[in-house]
Amino acid sequence: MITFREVSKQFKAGRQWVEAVRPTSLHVEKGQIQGIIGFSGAGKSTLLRMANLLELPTAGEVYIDGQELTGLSAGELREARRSIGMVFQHYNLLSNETCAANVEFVLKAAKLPGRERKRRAEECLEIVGLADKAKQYPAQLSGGQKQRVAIARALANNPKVLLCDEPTSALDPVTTLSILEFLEKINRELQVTIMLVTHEIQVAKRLCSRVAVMEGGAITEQLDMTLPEIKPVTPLGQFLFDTAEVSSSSVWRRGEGYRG
Amino acid sequence: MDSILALQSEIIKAIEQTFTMVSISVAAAIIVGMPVGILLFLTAPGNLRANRPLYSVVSYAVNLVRSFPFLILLVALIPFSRMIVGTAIGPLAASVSLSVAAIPFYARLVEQSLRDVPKGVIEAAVASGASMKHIIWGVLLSEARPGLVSGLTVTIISFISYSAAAGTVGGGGIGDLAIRYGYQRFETEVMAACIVILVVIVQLVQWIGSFAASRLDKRK
Repeated sequence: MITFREVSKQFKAGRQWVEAVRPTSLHVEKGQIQGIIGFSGAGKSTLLRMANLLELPTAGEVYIDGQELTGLSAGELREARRSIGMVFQHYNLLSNETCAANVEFVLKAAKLPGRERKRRAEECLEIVGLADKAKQYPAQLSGGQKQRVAIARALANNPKVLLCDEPTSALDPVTTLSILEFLEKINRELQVTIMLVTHEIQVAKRLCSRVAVMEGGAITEQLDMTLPEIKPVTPLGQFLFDTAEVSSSSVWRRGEGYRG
Repeated sequence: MDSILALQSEIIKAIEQTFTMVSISVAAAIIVGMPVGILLFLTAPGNLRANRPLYSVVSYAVNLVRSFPFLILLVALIPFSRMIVGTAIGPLAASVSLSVAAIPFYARLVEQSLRDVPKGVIEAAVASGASMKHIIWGVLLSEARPGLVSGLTVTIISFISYSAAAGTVGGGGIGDLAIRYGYQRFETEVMAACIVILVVIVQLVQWIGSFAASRLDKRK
């Protein structure tokens, strides 16, 4: 569903070139939840943002559902982006518009007629359990609720792919859990392929079917989370999973308890 | 008091003239200045339609007009005013120069308010496949609404004050009345009356502007 073929990204920072992503290939099958984990500056967000060309790769190709994005015209790219939803760490909602209008914005981008937009927006807010907040403004909602509205917006055009850039990093553990459960549900029920960037190993463990470990702009290993035992071989992979054992902390357990 | 009563009709005429000049120049600021401001924002380095040569040219032109002392601009544009409205004197002629000054003035304020729109929100719209037109109307102008209105308030008030210079070309207006009667003829009462009128108008404009801006702002 998502294929990166030898993509790389270089930035010019001041006078020198920085290699944010070294030539990297990755393939995500339909219906999977692919996690990307690593420290800040590892290039994981840059890689994710290349999936809908918010970040243009310096070299290499990106395919979504068999379509090569890197070769599209501006108009074709806009079209293709409508079937790729995206969720951000800081929600990025329109602050001067109501929740319903936020969802309607992307429906309008997809040229849905007025009356259907209204109906579909209500439906999407219903899915995320915020139908009663339709007429409220983002500032009146909690962080978790804002992220739900952002997810409703990302799902509005029935995307094949959902890109999540640190979707829970601004949220408390309990809210994080509820958002993760929700993403899991979307993946299961709507068959949406998810690619998620996080620096929290707990998030990756909880949600992902596969996790790529990124370091220094490259994927150093790919772990299958469906296996009964996960054995990372790289030092970073081992470090992340070891600290995860130590910090399967009381907060997380309590979080589980809260959810009943 | 008598001098004011004697000039009553003059004062009313002056208010009308000020109103004409400010309305025309503010309309020009909105109709032309706002698109120029949007252009400046979009073409600035690192933005959606980054285009350094175009940005530099427009930005330079804006700075050029803004660096003229208004009185000099007014005189320099006399031939241009004559070409546009057929005369070089009167409120309409002054409105031409005022408009030329108001356009870059508001354009910069528009550019500035658009810069305050969070990059991430624009990015989310780009990621959703929205067209440029949709992003301009649905994201930029919508999110910058409070700033655009505050900027407009500043523009209106500045141009009430600029319009006082319009007397130079017989443009009239309250400011001109204050200068001619109050300053040049030492009729202090007339000057005081004009100033009171201006204070009331400016306070009113500011109050309405601030109220509108806060009503449009849903970020609280």
